[in-house]
Formats: sequence, C-alpha cells, structure tokens
Amino acid sequence: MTKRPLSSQLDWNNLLGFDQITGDRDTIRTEITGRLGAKVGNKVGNKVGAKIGAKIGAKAGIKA
Amino acid sequence: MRGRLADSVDYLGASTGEAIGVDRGDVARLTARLRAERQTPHAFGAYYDLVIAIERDDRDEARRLFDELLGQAPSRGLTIASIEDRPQHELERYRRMFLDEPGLAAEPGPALLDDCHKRIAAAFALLDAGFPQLAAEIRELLVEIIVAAGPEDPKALTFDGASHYMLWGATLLNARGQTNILDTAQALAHESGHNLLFGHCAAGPLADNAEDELFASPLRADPRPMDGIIHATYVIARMHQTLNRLLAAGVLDAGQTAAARADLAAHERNFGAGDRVVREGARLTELGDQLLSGARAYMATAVAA
Repeated sequence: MTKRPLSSQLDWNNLLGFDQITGDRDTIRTEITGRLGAKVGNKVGNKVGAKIGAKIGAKAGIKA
Repeated sequence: MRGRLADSVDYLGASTGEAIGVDRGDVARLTARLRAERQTPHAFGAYYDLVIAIERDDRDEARRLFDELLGQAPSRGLTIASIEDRPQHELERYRRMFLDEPGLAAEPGPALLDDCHKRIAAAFALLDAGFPQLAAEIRELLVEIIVAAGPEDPKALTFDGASHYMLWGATLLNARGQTNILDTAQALAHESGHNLLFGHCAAGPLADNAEDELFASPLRADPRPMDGIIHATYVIARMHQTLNRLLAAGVLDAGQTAAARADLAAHERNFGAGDRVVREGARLTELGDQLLSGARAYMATAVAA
C-alpha cells in the first residue's frame, strides 16, 4: 500500500504566504519535491517572496 | 498575522495532522496560543518550513516542525541577540532565510557586539526623544533584532540589514553596517518598514507585476521585481521622515545634523528614482496604491516645506 503524498492534501489557498501564488504552483511544487536541503526553503522563499513583496524588499539593504 | 498563521496551522493540522501523527487537541491548543499571544519569528519560520516539509512529503521533518511549533514560547518583548546566540536549528533557519549567502552573517566578536548593542540602545533613545511614535511602532513591529557581522573586506558583497516575511518580527543588522547612532536609527526605521509591509501583504500583493519583470532599484545595483522596488521606495520615505522628525525635534548634535541633511537629500533623490520606476512600470493593487500614496503625500509635503 502506498501512502498518498502529503502535498496532494494541501490547498495553498488556505496557507499564509503561499496563497498569493497564482501561476506556477506545479512548477514550484516540483522544485520543492525535487530538491533537498536548505536550498529548498530558499527556492520557495524566492518564489513566494517575489510574489508577495517580501524576499526582494527584505533585502533592499544588501549592497551589490 | 497571528490570526492568519493560526488559521493556516489549523488547516495543516486538519489536512495532514493525522498522517504526521499530530494530535488534534495539540493543534487546537497551539492555534489558540498563536491567536492569543505575541509570537517569535520562529513561530512563523517553523510554519513555513513545515509547509515545505509537507510538500516534500518529509513526514519525520514535518512532525519535528509541528513539535517545534508546539514548544514555541511566546515573545516577551523586543530582544537583541547575536546570530549564534540561539539553538542550532534556529541559527540555521536565520542564516538560510535572511540571506542568499548564509556565510555573510558571521558571529560578531564581543567588542563588535557590545558596540552594536550600545548603538541600538542609543538609536532607540534618540528616537524616543525625537520621534517617539516611530520608536513605539518599531518596538511593536520588531520582536527580535539579530546582530551579525558582515564581511570586513570592503569589496565583498555585504548587507546593512535584512528582513524576511517568513521571519515576521525579526530583523538582521550588520554590526559593521552602521557605524553611528543616526545610521542605526535609520536602519531600524528601514527594516521595521519592511516588516510593516509584510504585515500588510498578508492581505494581498502590492502589485500584480510578474516576478520575472525586473526594474532598476533605487537602493541596489541589481534589477529587482516590482515588489522590491515598492518596498525600497516606501522605506526610503520612512527613513526620510525619521530624519525630518529628528531634525525638527532638535535632538541631533552638529555632526548628526549635517549628516541628516546630507542623507535627506540622498533619500529625496532615491525616492524620486524609485517612484519614477513605480509610476512607469507598476501595476499597483489597491493596497499598493494606498501605501505608496501615503509615502508620496509625505514626501511631497516634506520636500515642499
């Protein structure tokens, strides 16, 4: 018997920070499930943050 | 934000709690606590990591993160601590979420940390004296100020401060990024401004521009998505207002007054540059328009005065 993936039980519309992603949730899901480790969080942070005005604005203080 | 966090955790518990092995009663007690008490940034950070773990179908990690949430103590007010002065998993989360290059945020040495502590205390005292409304707002918005040491190499990529919506209420300051009290006061206004916008953004985005549409930033050399431009433009106005109020209150010494006037001019230029990019390229939402309109109205009045 195989367990139903947990991700299939989540509707991002009900989740703070994820609910504003509209266009490419499947792509982001693939990135989340296809990679391991700390970078996964960064990837999602980039995706989600770029959409809701967080990650990018958050780092406005960084000098390039 | 806490209400939205509690709703989301409640949903996670209902949809995946059984598969992870989380007790419904524990979830109910947790969400009641999230709604009732001020939370640390790690309540938000653990929640985001939890969603990511669930998406990865990593049930053990999801259970550990639920347990971390269950064990979160409420915030007892604004704290200031060095980046490594915390459990390993919280240190790892801060370095991972705050910066693209986690190695940028090193532990400051004792002297550097002590100097930074003193500057932050003096910056709050300055704001209390000259702009007490902002000082009170910063204490409400920020739960933790994390002090790290950026690179010493002047040519290296570095940061002045950083905030992240996944760590709502937290701000990372580079102990080497500000060398005087006035700059630290501005950094507090700046970073708390990002946290303020994060709170607003829980209700919706500031603009409908696609994340891969990039624009010139008034604060950074690299092109940024429109949300970043709006953030930068907004916090520039906030720093301008901070200096204006401190000057008007007469609480700055001669050196600080000269520095504040020079910075005001720079903020005016940068706000103009950012606002031009917004006007030309942003598809502002009602929320974004409302927030930017307030900043524009302030700047128009301040510059005309």
